Amino acid sequence: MDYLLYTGCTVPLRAVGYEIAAIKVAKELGINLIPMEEFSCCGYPIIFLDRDTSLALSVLNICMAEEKGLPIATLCNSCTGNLTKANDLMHKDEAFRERINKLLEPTGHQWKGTIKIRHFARILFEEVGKEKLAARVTKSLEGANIAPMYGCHYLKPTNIYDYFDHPDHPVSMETLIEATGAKPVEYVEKTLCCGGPILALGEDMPMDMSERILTGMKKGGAEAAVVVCPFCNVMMGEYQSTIGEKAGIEYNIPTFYMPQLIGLAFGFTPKELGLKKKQVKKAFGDILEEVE
Amino acid sequence: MTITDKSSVKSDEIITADQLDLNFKYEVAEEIGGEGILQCFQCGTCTATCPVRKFDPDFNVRRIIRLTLLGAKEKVMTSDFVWLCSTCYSCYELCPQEVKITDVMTALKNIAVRNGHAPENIKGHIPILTEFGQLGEITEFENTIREKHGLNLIVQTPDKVRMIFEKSKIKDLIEGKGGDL
Repeated sequence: MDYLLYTGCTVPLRAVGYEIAAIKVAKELGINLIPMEEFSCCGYPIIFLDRDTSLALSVLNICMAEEKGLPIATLCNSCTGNLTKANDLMHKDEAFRERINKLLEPTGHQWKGTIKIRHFARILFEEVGKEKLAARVTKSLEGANIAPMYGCHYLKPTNIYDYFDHPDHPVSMETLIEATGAKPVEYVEKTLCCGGPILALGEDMPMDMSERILTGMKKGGAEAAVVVCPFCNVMMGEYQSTIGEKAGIEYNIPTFYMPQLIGLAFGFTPKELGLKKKQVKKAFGDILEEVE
Repeated sequence: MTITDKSSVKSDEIITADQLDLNFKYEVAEEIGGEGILQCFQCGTCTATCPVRKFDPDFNVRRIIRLTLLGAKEKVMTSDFVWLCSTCYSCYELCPQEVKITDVMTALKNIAVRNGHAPENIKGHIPILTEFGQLGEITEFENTIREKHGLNLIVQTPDKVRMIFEKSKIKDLIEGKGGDL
């Protein structure tokens, strides 16, 4: 199974460990994540400014993948959303297709509609499956309580994602967590927005929104959290201590990207998954006895 | 509070008919993604489910839609609150009238931009994307880490992004050249 790996802008700049782990874990499962030599921003950050320009950037990247004859695997929820939405509209809306084709004209690319876009976590859930993942586990994470955090554009809007998971009561991340032997933490805030997309307009609102999620995780007894979007991790991970200080709560919830969690269960060392040893010890020190 | 006590209503919040642009709702409905607005029957499911509204009562999606349907164009265009929609799609999923509110909010933002009301921080994405083709520069620092982990080196190629930007005239759009307010 071959996919072109579309990292988008945020992963190479702020979450390279996510990319490292995704490629390693995929390879173990017989999936080649081939790097895209040429790619640009998916356009999501400028959708507030002009929808057509934003989605034209997504279509540009889809065209570049089509020319390689391969589907796209994504790591970021926002990239997944913009690319999938653009591809969906190109298929369904003739007027949209005409306008975007005009915008693309000078680039020499033409949309053909031959490929699909899939979030890597969705590939693991749908195309690999729990059984095959569990069979590959050598260091079970049994005993760990891990909170899944979905973010928004991994699931929603459901009409562009073939309703592959429920928007309010999703199960795909829980299924992947269970494959590692760990127990998924059930908490009602698991599908709420981290506020990342409005971070450019000020920190206060996203910090309040993320505090609600982190507090839900803490109450649910989470020892670690797992995310599938670099922006969720900016809020849940990078901002966690600042949010905790403001709220007067010590969260102490190390965050991991889904492929990093699965990679640990596959027996990879933290270093091989772009993780810090200290972080892995903090979350799984008593389970993974020898953290290399 | 008695019925004559208006102390909780600020005078600048009272909407009078002479401020209304009755065509505004049609302008929004013609905008890409704005089509659904005419289907709204004001049930308020959007406001109830909004994770932003939980922390800022002024960000009230039902009210924004109602103001738009009334024709309070200037109020909607110049207020900060349209920008607070984080595009989480919670309301989009639950709306019983398929208003596709997230798309309507994007349409409102796009119209506001064309009328010269784009927030500076979001406008700032355009020069960065023009320079790098991505939302930041990949330097030798990032590529050294990539090499160490056996990842491909990233060479940023902004040419095609620039071509699309030129064709869509985004630089004029964000300066409000293309609006009618």
